Amino acid sequence: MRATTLTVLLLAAAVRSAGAEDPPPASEPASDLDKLPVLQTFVAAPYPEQAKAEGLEATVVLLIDIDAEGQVEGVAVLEPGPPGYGFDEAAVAAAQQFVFEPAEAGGVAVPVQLTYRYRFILETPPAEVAPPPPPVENFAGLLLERGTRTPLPGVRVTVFRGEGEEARGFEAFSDRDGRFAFFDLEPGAWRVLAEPDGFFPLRTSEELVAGEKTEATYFIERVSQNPYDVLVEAVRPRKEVSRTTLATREIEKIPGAAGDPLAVVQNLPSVARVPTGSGDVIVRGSAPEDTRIFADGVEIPVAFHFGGLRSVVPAGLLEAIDFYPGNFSAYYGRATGGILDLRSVRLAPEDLGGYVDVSLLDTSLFLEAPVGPDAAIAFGARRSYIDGVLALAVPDDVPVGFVTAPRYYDGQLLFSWRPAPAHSVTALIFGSDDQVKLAFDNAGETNPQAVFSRLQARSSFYRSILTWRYAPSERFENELRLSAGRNWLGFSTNGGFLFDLNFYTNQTRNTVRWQLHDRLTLRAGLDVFFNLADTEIRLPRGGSKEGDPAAVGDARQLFSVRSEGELFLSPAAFVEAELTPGAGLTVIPGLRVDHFGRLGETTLDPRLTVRWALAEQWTAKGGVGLFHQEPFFDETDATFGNPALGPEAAWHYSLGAEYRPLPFLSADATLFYKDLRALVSRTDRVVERDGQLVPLLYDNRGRGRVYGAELLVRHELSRNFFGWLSYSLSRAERRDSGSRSWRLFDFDQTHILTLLGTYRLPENWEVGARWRLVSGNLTTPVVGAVLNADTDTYEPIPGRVNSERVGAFHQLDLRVDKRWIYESWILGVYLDLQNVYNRANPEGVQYNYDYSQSEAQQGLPLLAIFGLRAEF
Amino acid sequence: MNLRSLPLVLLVVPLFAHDAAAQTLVPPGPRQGYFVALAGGGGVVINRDEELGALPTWPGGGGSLRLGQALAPGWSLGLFLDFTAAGGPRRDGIGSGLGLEVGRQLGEAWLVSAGVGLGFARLDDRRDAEADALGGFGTRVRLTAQRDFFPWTRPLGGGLALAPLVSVELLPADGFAALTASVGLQVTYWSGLPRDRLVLPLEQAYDPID
Repeated sequence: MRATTLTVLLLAAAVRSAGAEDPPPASEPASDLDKLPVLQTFVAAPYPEQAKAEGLEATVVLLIDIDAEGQVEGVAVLEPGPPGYGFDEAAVAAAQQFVFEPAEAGGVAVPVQLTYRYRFILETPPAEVAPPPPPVENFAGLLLERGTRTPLPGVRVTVFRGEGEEARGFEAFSDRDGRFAFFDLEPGAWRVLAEPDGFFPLRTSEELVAGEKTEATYFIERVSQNPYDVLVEAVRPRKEVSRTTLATREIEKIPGAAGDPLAVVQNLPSVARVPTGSGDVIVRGSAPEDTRIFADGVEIPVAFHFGGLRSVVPAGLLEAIDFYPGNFSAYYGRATGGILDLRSVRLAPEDLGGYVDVSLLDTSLFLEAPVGPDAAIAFGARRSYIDGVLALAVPDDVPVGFVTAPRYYDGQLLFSWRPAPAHSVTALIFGSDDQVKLAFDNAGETNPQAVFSRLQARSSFYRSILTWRYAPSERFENELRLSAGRNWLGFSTNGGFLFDLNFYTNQTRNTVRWQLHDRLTLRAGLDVFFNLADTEIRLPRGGSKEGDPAAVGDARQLFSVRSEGELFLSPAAFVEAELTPGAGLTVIPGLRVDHFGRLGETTLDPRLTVRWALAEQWTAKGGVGLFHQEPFFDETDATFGNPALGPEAAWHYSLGAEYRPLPFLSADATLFYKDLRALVSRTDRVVERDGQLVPLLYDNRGRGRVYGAELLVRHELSRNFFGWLSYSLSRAERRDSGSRSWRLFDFDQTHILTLLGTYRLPENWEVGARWRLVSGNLTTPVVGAVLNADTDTYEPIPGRVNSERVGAFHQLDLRVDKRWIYESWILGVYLDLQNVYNRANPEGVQYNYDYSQSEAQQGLPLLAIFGLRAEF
Repeated sequence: MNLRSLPLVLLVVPLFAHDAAAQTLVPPGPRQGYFVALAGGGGVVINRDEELGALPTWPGGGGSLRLGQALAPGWSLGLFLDFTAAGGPRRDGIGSGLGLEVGRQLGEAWLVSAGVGLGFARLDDRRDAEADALGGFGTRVRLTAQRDFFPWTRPLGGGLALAPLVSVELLPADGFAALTASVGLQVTYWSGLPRDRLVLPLEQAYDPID
């Protein structure tokens, strides 16, 4: 092989004590070579130990012969390293193991000789690199919704300064608590921008100071402030033929209700209009006492305070109202009319909050607060001052003085706790107290039949309800409710009248729901009602009942009853199956067994409900069922009634259809028929009791029938509008004991039309209107009068019961609400104008002393109710 | 968790004046925000009693206080409180009303309003010693038309407005009716809107540093 030394390449390599690195090539190209040799395999020389120990570094220059294949043929030392350490030997030994990519000349690989500088360098530990300084948070903030203080998460916050090419900006997002932060912003003025969807933009400026942290809390206002905007609720699937659920927040601003959600029930189809001052709920031609009021499934005695202006449970504690005008589930019993169930609110406060509501009628307070992560507590109270308002409003010449004008209190305490995902516990304590004392001047002039001039009345109750719900899976749920409370109802007069009912009441319910199969769910439960009653009554026998043209009985002959510790146990059990065989069909057969302890009778109520989703928008429905209830308390008393009375019964039949063309628009039409049997009715019969002939007073030979059609077209809160049209066409009749003819029920109202709506305007204004058109009330005409020489008063001779009607009722109500949104609270003001066009609606007929002249009793004139509410 | 600030690759400053909420924002204008208006004037009162029929027309004067807010462009909503006094020697007539009122802007300068509420009217003619005072309580309807002039507007909207106005109030009470027609002058203060409701150039759009 011809060894040609054409040029000298100087390559350098470095060896460190810990190993070798690829040598950085440094070259001096030879003029005749097309391609220089390239080191492909480098071998590190071992660092001589002694030199390493002494910290000695060195360079050895080698002369390497490389053949045409790139292999090292020979190595010589041109410039040795420090003698005596072994640098030269180590460098030569390593270089002999090098492999090169051969050099080329004229396109052919050629052998070459090159010089190679081998450096021995001691490895030094890498220098400590100072970590960059941590970023400094010098601007932080909190985004909250103006008014509610709700944190706004996920909102982009931008800070920027300068314009054009000088512009600088940064952005951050708020976390789940609404907090955001910026780091290392330069001192000086920055503009801050945030524009969450549905809110007005935040546009402000901040001055940052070097070395200081700036913190800010920003309250951003929702474009249209309404708590309902953020309430997302699953819609309960409908199973009943007729159930209307009214969400409290949806309805509390309906005109004419003075802010009371429960009063809105009066605007639903199937509910008769009652005169102002009556808190009765009259459903599908049933007597007021036939419709039961429940709070979380536990019966309460009344729904409204005196006069029906306010419900006994305030808006803050109500989540929704479920109203069943008929064909209700076997879960409910002891009623032949309808059901009104008030559902308490599900507490989930993130912070202390509540409201204060002040109106011309009363003031109420509601507070709620979290108690740890799994519990919450709420408190409410209300006190009326109608007494003060009446004292100012009633003219001096009105012959009625208020010793204690109507006044009411109510209070509530709610505690909820969720100790585990499958368990929830709720404790609710609430009560109500109403009282009035009246003094009549010239009572005889006011009422020819009057036998007293002073009256005091009081009605109060409380309930404590403990609920434990256990739901380990979607297929199984058990709910236990324990309730204890007291009802107290009494009145007395200076004429010796006394009525004092004192009930200690307990109700225990346990309900199990078990989904056995995808197409079968069972629900069963126990419903045990227990009463301990103390009673004292001193009244004339008779009184005033439905269908009586005038009060019955001799007011001068008083009968007395006194009893203590009477026990009445009314246990019940029910079971119902929800069958979904397919094709949109739901069939719910149910059975309820009630034992009425006061009557000593047991009833069996089969019920059936069918719903059939014919198409996406259409549902057909129907139901049939039997319902029983006890007679009123006095009717089964041995002195004032007939202790042998049995329960009243009603068969409910209904058939209807629902149409939902749009998610927020629905129409519900129902035909119904009610067959009322064994109604308690007055009778002139006498029976032998304890060896004596005594008047029977009442028997169960009354009958009733109610039939009609109902329509509800409802636009749920959407596109800023909420409202409905309801219309009922019905006829309610009774056949009294011993009679062969039917007469109209006291509260029969052939036509009931209600149109109402509320519209949310910009700037937190809300306007609403309600218009009602209802058939006139029934009256029994007085066809003559006779003078009673003993009392020197005229006694009326009634005509056919309920054979005449006063003029139709129609009324327009308007309401306007305005809310001011402050940083951490909201002020709302409303004006409710009732009977805007001042219609003189006749409510009945009143007569002069000898019944020779009559005039219409008129309802309330134009009335303005003003109120304000602060929420925080 | 706080997020670290992120540098913006591109900051398009002019876009800040036309943000995502721009559809809720409006340019500054004279009739924006809350308003309070005081008016006074004179006119005639025409009464009718169910038993006596039409009564002589009485000259009178009156005034009104109106409070409210501009809503959607061209619309306003508020309350009115008005009063009327009429009569002459030995005869007095008074009336007053309180109610809700809706206003509608017509063009740039004209505004018409309609209101409904409750009110009363009472006439006492002491020239006839045997005559009883007349009057009634009931629904009060109020209609007004006004032409606004804005001599003192502000860059961010609102300001003072002067307006000659014509108003008609009707009280169709039970058994008695009163109609008042008057002309007068009204002074209105408009509060304007906060900056975050307005479409503004960048240099005005942001609240200044406190």
